[in-house]
Amino acid sequence: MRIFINGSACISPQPFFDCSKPLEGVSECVGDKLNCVEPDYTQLLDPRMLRRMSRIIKIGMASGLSAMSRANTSEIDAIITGTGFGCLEDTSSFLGKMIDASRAMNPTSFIQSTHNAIGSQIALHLRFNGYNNTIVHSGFAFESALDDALLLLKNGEAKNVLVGGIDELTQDLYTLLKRIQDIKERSNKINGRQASTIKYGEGCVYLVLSDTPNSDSVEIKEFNTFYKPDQKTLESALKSFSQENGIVMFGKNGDSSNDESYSWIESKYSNRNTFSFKNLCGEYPTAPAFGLWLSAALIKGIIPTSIIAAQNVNEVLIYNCFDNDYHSFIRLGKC
Amino acid sequence: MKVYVAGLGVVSGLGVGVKSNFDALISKNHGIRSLSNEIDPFLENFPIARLNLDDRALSKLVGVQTRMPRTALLSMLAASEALNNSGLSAQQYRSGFISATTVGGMDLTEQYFLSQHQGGKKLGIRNIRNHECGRATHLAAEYLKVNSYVSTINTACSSSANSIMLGARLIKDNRLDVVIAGGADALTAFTLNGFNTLLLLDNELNKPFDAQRKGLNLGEGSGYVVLVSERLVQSGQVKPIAVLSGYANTTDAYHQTALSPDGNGPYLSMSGALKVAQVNPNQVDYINLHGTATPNNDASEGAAIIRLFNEGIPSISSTKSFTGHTLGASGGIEAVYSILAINHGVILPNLRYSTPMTEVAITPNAEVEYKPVNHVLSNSFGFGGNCTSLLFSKIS
Amino acid sequence: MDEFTLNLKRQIIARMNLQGVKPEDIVDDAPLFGDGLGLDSIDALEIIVLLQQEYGIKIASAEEGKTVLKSVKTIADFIKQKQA
Repeated sequence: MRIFINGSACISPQPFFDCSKPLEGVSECVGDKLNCVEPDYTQLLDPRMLRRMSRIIKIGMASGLSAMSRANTSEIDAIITGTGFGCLEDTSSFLGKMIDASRAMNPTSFIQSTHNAIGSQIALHLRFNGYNNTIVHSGFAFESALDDALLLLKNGEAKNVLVGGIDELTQDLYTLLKRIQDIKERSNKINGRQASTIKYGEGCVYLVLSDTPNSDSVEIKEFNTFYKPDQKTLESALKSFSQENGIVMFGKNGDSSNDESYSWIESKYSNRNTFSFKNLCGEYPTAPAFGLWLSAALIKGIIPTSIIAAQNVNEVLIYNCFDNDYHSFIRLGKC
Repeated sequence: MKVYVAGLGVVSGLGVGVKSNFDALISKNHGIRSLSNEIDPFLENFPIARLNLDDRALSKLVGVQTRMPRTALLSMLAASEALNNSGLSAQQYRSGFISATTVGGMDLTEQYFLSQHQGGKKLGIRNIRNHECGRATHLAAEYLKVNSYVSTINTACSSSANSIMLGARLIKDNRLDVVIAGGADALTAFTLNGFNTLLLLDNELNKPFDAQRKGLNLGEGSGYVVLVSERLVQSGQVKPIAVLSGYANTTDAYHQTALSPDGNGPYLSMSGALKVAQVNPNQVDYINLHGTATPNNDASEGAAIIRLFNEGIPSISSTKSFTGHTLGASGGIEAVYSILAINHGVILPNLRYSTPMTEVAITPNAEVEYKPVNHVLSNSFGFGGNCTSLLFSKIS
Repeated sequence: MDEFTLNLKRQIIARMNLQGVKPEDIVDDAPLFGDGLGLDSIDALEIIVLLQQEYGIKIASAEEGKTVLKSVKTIADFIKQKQA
């Protein structure tokens, strides 16, 4: 069975949401805290709904509904969302109020702090009664969500699936992540590794996957995930990728101990054909969704060469490694 | 292709292990015996179902030295019981671990922030490294020595039912031979306060499906089943104890925190599970209800059951009258209880029931009843309208 | 509009994040829920929390809330009655 990306929408630290005009972007983001360039939500969502929505829910709703309209479909059979941190702003807000002497907690923050709030809000808006799942397995949440989506399509249990990855970067999270990384750097230094250059980011990509293409489709030709694989298994995932027509997209994030995991595959491909995506979106659990969106956009020819210096891209192999144990390979190509 | 269950593991306010839980269920001995001020001194008088082991004792029981979230410890305890009961080694087959949690490492996170805010000894930042839901799963997967697939689901109160469903689908896809699936949730001040702001807690013991019901009691625990492929069973390497014959995940899409009055989502998930199993409503012997004892859930779930089963309503009960509502763990715990009902030929009782609900004419089993139980529907409905039903069947 | 009612309306507008709505747009005895201002059950819970935090008044259940929260006037009367 063939699987197609029929529509997608990306809200990220790059101005990639509006694809109706030629994309510009910033190939090197300044600073290490990358927050999203957000659209005007009043153009996309009902103001009466907007008043209660937290930022991450607005981002998710805007991306999800836009992906559907771009795929020209109002009929979906499943909504699957991957998120590593969930709805942090509301979690943080509720927790903060709980700890404060006034204990001025409010129900809206609690309701919106649940990880499945994003997928549920989309379903509520659409009056959707079908399959709805939220996967929260940290840096593998998006790949796992994609896996779930492909399984439904492959078994004929769905014809169109809305699948996405979303995470937010709050100021509090940024501060905590930096402190945790500082501790990790001490170990990196002891082990003779270079200092890390991580950027922290956030974003949302929703895609409509289908068993039938439209005029704008990009095909998911292959998708493999591995947990604690041996080297032989890893290398077998590269067999069907043709370097001649394709480029490789890595999920390296600038953390020297993390990026070591990519050395085995980097040695197989000449540098001119390999790129990274996390310098554009930052590191966050579901960043691979951005990598997927970017790769599809490259195949469609809408990414300027000032951002990614590649032209006439027919195939992309996206490789992401999380925590040294979880590996994903996605091969995209023209229909 | 059939998916079988080969092992069970459970931890709850009824105790550690399948035997303690089952003994408590059939002797009508509930586990909602603590009060919320043990977790948060500002919340005085809400009954909760707490496991009688602190983190240190749990760590010792599980055999880990480093401090980790309580949810991870609960998960390891029940998941390892399930695996041990199956007689299988996770290393010998293509094995997966699919867990669920709504709380993740929030117990340590809230303690960390509390300690920063108050005077006295401060907890190190290391304690929030395991905040994410996925971390509890990852730690447990390493403990179980699973080798092929690990993931975490969070769809609020239907989470672990969805884990079990995903596990079954991966086995049917021939990706995995053995999957330990279910979920865990520890009690936290965060969730207690959250439910309190929603006015969903009862300050007395819960009364599921009763006219006088006022709300839920929260509980903690973990529940896992070991799912195995038909091929593995046919090879004689494992003895199955039940079949997971049906499952369905649907969305109610009525409100963020309430089910539709006619229980549309629950109706769709129950009928969907029966359709996958190719089992008719009149073949179902027992429904293990979601039965949280909130005015809304029980009325909606009741309406959905009447709509699906008409005159032929099977025996029904809510075991949350024993364990409280264990949130992300409830689907897993109740899957275990559903299978115990099948294998012991017993309808588990619904405690503290005395008056029929006014909204719908439906009566749960107040007593333990021994009779053949061939098919059991287990319901789990969560915030956001996430509805999942599982159908377990006797091995013929 | 008296100062008390004005203040209450401002609090409701702020807490419900009713952008573009001014106190003078809210009629004192118009229904807050369903049609009218279009608030829902989650907003009802928020107002219950507001009453507790700003006025020290506890509403124990959603049922009690239903009668009290009909309109700005019924809320205002309830507060004054409790504070008397």
